[in-house]
Amino acid sequence: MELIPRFLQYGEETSFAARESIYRAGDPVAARPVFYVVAGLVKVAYPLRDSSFALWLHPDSIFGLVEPLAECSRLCTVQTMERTICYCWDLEGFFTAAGVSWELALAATSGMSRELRILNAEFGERLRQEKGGT
Amino acid sequence: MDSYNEIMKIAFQGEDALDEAVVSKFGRRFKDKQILIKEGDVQQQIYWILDGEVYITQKLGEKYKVLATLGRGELIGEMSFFDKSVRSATVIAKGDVHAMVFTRESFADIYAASPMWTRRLLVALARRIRGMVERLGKF
Repeated sequence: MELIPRFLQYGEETSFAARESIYRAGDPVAARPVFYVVAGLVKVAYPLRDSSFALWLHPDSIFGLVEPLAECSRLCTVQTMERTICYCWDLEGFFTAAGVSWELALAATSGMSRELRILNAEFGERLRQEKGGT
Repeated sequence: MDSYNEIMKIAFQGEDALDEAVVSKFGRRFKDKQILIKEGDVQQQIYWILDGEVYITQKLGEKYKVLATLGRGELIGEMSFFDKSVRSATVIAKGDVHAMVFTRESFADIYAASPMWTRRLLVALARRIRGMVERLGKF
């Protein structure tokens, strides 16, 4: 049996087909809301007024943490772009896993920092375009 | 724009676990006019000022323009700590400064000192992301 990182042992492996929806903006947060991408490619799309803004997540990315922590329904639509294998946790399971692996905690924090930085940059750009009338 | 600094401060607030052993391990002393951070560098370190003040400056020609002065309890360099970015300012000690300096490699030590630190940080980040997504949704 192939050894998996210790922190993943607290999660449940789940497999998605290509182009499969994992959750949609407005969905309630499910029982196991936090995902770790083991293999594959995931698209995260934030709805805008008339369009959307997308990020792509590669293996070792974590998604799904924002809404349970911010106590809101799903803010974005998440879909696989190819066959994808994830591990998923409930919130306390995630923090248990992070408790045995500072690398997981660092990956989650870095990922969310990057997400916020990208959203900030996008917001700044849209504001600039709106003020510039372009 | 959202400020990482505010988020990080929330995470650090009231951190009793950051005791003398942690301060001793990560504490560094800087002399007057010593440069802590140089504009243009790519350096993944965060500074938590324990004592003293620093100038946040930007170089204009041969001179440094002071943008702000920060003191005890302030965090510097948080944007580059988790996600690499180019330093946008030069930080210079104003008199003697005592600060804790954490690198990405020492994240394990911070985490071991206080696992709650990460949880608070993630909650603060999640709330900021939610707020930004809601603001972006108006475009």
